[in-house]
Amino acid sequence: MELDEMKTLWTEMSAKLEGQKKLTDKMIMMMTQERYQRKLSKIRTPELISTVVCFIIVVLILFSLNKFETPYLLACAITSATILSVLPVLSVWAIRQVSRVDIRAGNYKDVLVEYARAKRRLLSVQKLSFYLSFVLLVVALPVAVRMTGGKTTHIESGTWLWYVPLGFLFFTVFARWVYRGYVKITIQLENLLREIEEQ
Amino acid sequence: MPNESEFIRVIKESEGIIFKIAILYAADRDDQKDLYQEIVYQLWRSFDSFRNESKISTWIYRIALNTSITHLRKEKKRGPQVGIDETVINRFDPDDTLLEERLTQFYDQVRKLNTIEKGIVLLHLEGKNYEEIAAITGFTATNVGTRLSRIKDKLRSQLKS
Repeated sequence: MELDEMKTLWTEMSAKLEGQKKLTDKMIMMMTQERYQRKLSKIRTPELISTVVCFIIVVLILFSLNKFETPYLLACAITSATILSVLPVLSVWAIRQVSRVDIRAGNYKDVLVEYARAKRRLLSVQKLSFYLSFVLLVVALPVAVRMTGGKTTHIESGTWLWYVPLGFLFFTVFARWVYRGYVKITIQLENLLREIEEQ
Repeated sequence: MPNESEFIRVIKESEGIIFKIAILYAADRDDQKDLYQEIVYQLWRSFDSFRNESKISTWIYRIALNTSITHLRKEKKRGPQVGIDETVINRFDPDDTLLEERLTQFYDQVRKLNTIEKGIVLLHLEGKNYEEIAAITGFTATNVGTRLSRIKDKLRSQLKS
């Protein structure tokens, strides 16, 4: 369908719509009130739960610092605690940036640019989270074993044999899938931003 | 709080515009209903900020289009909408099959356009001139003309492929 044909069809549809008045006063106010209530009660449950869980683990690690006698265990504990503190904060910040794009502040072009940039930041944070999760997978095991009273020698013998290859396999498969998605969305966003700037 | 009776009057006058934007920017019925409701809510939130510096229709297009950009699909998973009636989205009678078929073909084509193009096409179809489209979108009038001409070419090539 060419643009002129589309215009004819659009005019026909608009004329039909003009004759229909479906909204009632009650419906309009119900829509706004219901949406308002939903926004008020909207708690980003998954993000909130994961952030709380991460912070509880960080506190537990910090209270168990005396259990990590060797520099290797201490380094693993500090790295785990750092990743677990930084990741949720970064993620929540990036998600808020996307959801806080002010639709009243600018025109279509401004909002589009702001939204695309916020989305790009979120993608970068997600990418970083993904790689840091892999580091966490490696450093968290000795920390967890030590904290639960086990000896780290257990991991040197048995656990590593299945934990690392299995974890690595999972991350490789998952990484390829996630990476393809990231690349696709990033290219779309870059193209959009480039096209906005075109004259 | 916005003036309720004034707000209701404006929304009733613009329900066709909101419907058209919702169906072009959201692919399925649930999403369309959700976007429709979100646009009404955002208009209500922004109603007090309308300053009469521009036409009310320009302001409505701007808020509705901006809402469509940032609207998240996953929103619909957060629970059913109680305030929106099915008839708000189901606009056509069963005897409008031919029109519906042509519209489906039209939506398929427009949804292949990117967000910038979709906004410009919608405003063009609404009968807005280059200056009005420029005021709503933030592109210059000349740039709107250039983009529309590219969109025409793109639609033609869609037909050939």
